[in-house]
Amino acid sequence: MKRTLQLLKEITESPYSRLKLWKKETGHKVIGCFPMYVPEEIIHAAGLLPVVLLEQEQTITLADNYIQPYICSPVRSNLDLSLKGGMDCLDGLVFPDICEPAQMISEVWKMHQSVPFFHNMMVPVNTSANYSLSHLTHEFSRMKTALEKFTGRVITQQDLKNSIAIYNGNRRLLQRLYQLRREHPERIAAREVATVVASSMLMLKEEHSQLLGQLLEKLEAKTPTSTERARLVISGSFCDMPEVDILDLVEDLGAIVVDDDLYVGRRYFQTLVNEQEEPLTALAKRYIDDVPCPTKYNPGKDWTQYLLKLCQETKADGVLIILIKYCESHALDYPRLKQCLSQDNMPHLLIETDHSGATGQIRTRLQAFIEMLQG
Amino acid sequence: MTVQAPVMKSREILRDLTDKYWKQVKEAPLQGRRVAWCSGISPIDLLKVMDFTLVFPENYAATCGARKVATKNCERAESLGYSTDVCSYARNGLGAVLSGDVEHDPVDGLPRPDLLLINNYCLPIVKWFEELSRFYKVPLIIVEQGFRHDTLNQQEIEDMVRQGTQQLRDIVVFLEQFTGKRFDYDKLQVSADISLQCNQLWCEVLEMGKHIPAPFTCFDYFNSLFPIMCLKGEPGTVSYYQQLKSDLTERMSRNIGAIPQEKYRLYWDNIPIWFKLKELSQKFASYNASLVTGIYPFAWAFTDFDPKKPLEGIARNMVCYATNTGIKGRSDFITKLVQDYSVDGLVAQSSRSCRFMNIGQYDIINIVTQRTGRPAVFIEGDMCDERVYMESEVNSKIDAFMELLAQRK
Repeated sequence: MKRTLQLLKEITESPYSRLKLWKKETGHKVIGCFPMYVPEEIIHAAGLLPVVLLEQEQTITLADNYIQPYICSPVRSNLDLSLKGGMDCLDGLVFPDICEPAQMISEVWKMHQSVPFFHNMMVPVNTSANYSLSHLTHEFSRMKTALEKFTGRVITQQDLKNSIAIYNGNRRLLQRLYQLRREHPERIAAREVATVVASSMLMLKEEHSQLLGQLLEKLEAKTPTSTERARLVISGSFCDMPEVDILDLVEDLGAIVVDDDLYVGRRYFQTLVNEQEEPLTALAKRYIDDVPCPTKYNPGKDWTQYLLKLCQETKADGVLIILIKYCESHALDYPRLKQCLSQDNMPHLLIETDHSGATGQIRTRLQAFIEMLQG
Repeated sequence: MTVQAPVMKSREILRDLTDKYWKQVKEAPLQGRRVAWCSGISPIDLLKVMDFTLVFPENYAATCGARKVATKNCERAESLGYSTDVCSYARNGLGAVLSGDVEHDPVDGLPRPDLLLINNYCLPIVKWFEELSRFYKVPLIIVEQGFRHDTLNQQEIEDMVRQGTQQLRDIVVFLEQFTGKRFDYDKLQVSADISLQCNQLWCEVLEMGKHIPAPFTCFDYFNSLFPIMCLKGEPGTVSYYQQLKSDLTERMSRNIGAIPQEKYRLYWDNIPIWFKLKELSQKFASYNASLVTGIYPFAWAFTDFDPKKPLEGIARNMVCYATNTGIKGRSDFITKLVQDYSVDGLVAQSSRSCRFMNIGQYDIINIVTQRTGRPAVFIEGDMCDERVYMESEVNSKIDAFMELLAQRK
């Protein structure tokens, strides 16, 4: 189990150098997907490897020459790494228009870094309109055509179905991991769970599923030790893996993470794609039916109700909200989230981070919060 | 001796239009007229056909900004948990509405909406209106025009226009159900014709800035935006811009510039800093510098559509307006402005809380300066939030820039 986790950790910490090697070995091409909702299955079905551009630990030195400093760190850091040549192994990029920074950074990126395949994915913000499904299906089909042009190979319905089955398989395994954690959260550290999910975004799904399958067997065999610790659900950290320092700190301070509402977490795998349906329509439906998100508008879906239900199911004592600094969409939803959690007597704490680690201020606030929960 | 500028008759018409508009807005609920709150480039013609009275929260934010009450509204929003990083238009609007506090409000608060209509040029406007929709328990209509990325080809842009047109048809159906009235397409045709005329006049007025000396500055344009944004499709708006055009024609014929001894001609990039319009215009005037043009007012100067197909025309306007495009599209547009308006230098405002206009701005301005050989200066500001504005820093940057321009002359 340790060895598998170590391997996944290495993949998460230095994805691009590993991808470079992997490309040499396999001759495959790699497509980078800007978070959060590129349908990786279509890229996979084209015989390419989709990876999600997750922020890497590094000091930003070049990005400030091209964009203002008050832009979220997933945008700044990814651009910076690319400018430094850290993403040279990528053969292509897909940017979804989920917010202005994601939309506009694609324009800046394209000015300074050239890749053989470059695609803007235009998604509707409204997922409840009568055009949402056809609009999205059309957009996914546009992406499919662009990929076919790039590879010179037709993507068949069967290719798409196979890829969807492989991705759903990985989602089911991740769901099992989360089920195991719910039952006995002591079995695996929050940092390790985040690593498992992040690595799934950075390598071939088939290989990840194999490693994860082995990991799950070992985890299931582990005899759980029961502890009385404050039970936390962590929410937010959109477009980014939660900082492991903060996850460690939560657990060092005596709390335990029982579930999450994180992008590099439950949000990545919770919703399956319907395997019976026409593939592109099924992928579009997944986008629509997915967990409520600040980048999507659907008056019939309530994020706070979703989150409260998650807390109920996991008997959580509190919610830790991680807000990526300058993430305007999340920041605009926060006041209502705060109000609804308070009305429901669900203790919560907001921490704002920009990938600068568990600072003294974060430690102090977390400590006070967890002590309060432990009453 | 400087020549005395002739009286601008248009100014009085603008004041009348504005007063009449606010009077009508205030009276709407009493007269049983439906009120809709709309975004700047949304398909307001459809609502006018259905006799809605329209309120523009972005324009209201600009007004609050200019009257220096926006910062107070932003603080009200912040006390409810909104981060200072959120768009200051949204914070102004949410702070004013959710707090219900109308003390010092320039219009004593806005009438309650029956309906909300936006186009999603940015996510903050969607989130802001979503909150309004929840607060007032009224429907929100979103028109999704899509962003005109540089990677898109003509066919894909036509697809966007078609999708937009279809959405407008859906809105017509919705409005018929919502109001219980039939949608009158003849009325739409009339409104669309007048709208096109307004856009054309606005375009002509903007193009008068090419004249040396320029009869009007960007600051004047910002102050004259209100009718084209909020009262498009109305005969009064046509009269206003006709008068403005003739006022400016008179200035031009007598070679009277907005800046009496125009020495430098500048381009203004990005949204106005509403709370500093007066100070900045005086600052530039002190250098005899005239801000002759800017991309922002051109967002309402779109005329390239077939007036016989009003729905398609509205959709095309939403997809193709000047700022709804990538680095290549915007830098081409601005390059042309710099050339056509004989611009000596560019003043680029990075509006702190508007990411849509900010990201890519460094590249856009760099491309334009490289192509035209005209220097640029970046200043940090915001549309509404006075607290992020560092006056002495901005002033010394402008001073240094004007010195540079002086050396080049």
